[in-house]
Amino acid sequence: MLLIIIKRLFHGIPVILGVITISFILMYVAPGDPVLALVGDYYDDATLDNLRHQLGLDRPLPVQYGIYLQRIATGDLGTSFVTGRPVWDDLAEKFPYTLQLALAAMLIAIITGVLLGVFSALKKNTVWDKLSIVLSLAGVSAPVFWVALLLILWVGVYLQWLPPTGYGGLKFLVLPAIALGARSMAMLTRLTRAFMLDTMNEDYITTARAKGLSERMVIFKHAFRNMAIPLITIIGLDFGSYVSGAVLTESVFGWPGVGRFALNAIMKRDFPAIQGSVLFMAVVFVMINILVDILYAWVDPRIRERITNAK
Amino acid sequence: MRNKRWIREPFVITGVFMVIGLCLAAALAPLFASPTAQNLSARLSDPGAGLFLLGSDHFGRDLLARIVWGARISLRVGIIASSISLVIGVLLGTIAGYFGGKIDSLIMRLTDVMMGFPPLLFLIAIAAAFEPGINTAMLAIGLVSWPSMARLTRGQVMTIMSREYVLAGTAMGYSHIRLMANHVLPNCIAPLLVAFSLGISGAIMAEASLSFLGLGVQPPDASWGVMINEGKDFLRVAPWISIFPGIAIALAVLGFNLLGEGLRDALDVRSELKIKNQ
Repeated sequence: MLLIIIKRLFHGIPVILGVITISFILMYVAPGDPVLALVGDYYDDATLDNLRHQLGLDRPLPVQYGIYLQRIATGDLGTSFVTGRPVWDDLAEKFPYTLQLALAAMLIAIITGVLLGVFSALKKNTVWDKLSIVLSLAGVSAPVFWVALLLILWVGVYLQWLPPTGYGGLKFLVLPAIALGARSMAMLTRLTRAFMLDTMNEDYITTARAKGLSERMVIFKHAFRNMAIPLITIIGLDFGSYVSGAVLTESVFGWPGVGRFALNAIMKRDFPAIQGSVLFMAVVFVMINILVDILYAWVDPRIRERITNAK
Repeated sequence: MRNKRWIREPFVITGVFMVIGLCLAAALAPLFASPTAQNLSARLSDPGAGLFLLGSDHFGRDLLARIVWGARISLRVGIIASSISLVIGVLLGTIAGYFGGKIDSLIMRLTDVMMGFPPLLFLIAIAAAFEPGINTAMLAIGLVSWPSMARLTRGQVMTIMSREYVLAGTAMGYSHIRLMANHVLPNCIAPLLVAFSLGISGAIMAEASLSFLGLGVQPPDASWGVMINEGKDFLRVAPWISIFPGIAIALAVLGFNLLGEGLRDALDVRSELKIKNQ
């Protein structure tokens, strides 16, 4: 198992290097002079040259790239033009909020998605089943920012059960978490339903039933074991993008996470903050994917064997 | 016989009709009012009441007309962006799968890196780096979504490369280009068609998201994402401004998804959502 973890981590190194390179190129090709963004309205050419020299922007490209790599290696993501604080500090402050939202969204999605899927499969071809199919199709197709607005309107404004936007305690977490998790919930419902319908006729299920196990034991202990891999795939993919900043959800709900921070940086052309947050989130995203790969191997001995034997 | 069966699948038929409906709406848009025509004496009017079937927005613009015109934008972005990703993906995927070895691992590492970015964030960063607009949006969506096309193509090409007819072609001294174009690629069409259809729905969603954030299609053009964003400020007094375009997005996305999934069943393409990095 340790070998697998090491192998997977090594696999991530070229990816992260590539991500660093692309985020460097992206800022370099972007139109608009970052120095101009920095000085404001009053400046002369000497100030510009000075600043350019200070920031190393007058050096040749490969040298700039080298400096950039060096800075990142020491954990320096630059200083935000807007807040005047190190980008790393801003990100570190916002990340817990994003993580909190992502975990809540995933939790809601898994619980409701799986339960709805099982329910739907058990009530196959009834009105309830059809309803849950339609609901899950809608969940996959509806844009998240629109679902967010509907929730704000319905639960926050009309019913006034929960605060529509903002941050502060559990009450504020519920709506964004539902909006963000809706897509995963829908996918999990479809997956669970299809899986249940496929699996419940397998021989080992019949065996489990024949042993006299209760239906609940059969479903949750025997059938679910084999759903682990597709389940991890869906959860892993979505969770990766939640944790790396749910830009849309965070901005609609005014959630103080990294996604909204990145969006604000983009809107204000705050180059160091854009570059830093893109890089930060990409690294988080890659890490989650590596973690998912490791989880696969942990859950499924067949995969473990294949990775260990490869090369 | 099994080719006939899928046509009876209710969801697939629904999908086909939704896509046809979307195309019709886009084609018939000129029959409706101009999407930017303002009627300031009928601002924020209720759906069904008076002049407008779906109500009007804060400039008194007909929401139905704007939604119908928005279908043009969505369809255009969906098809062009998905085509861009198809062309890049097929090109690189075929080269990777056909030649294998160093070229293959280089291209695959590149897709790894591209897929290392959270998709939406990557899209926003590219779109923001250039002048916002419909062309930037299409290009950005295409540039972000080709890696999965490339992987799909590569996988297909690798399977086909081991078939006898390709070996026969190699033995007869066919050029690489001829082998790729005449023998390998035509056999990859089915899964690519499925991916293309699903790609359109992804691109429609991506455009709506970008435009909602103000980084895609710019007002006053009638993009569904723009409309939802504009309605956001009137949510309490005129919720329909945001609600109807959202339904349009959901239907368009659902239509192409159902179509893609229907094609997958019809063409008997096995799901490529296998475990990564096998």
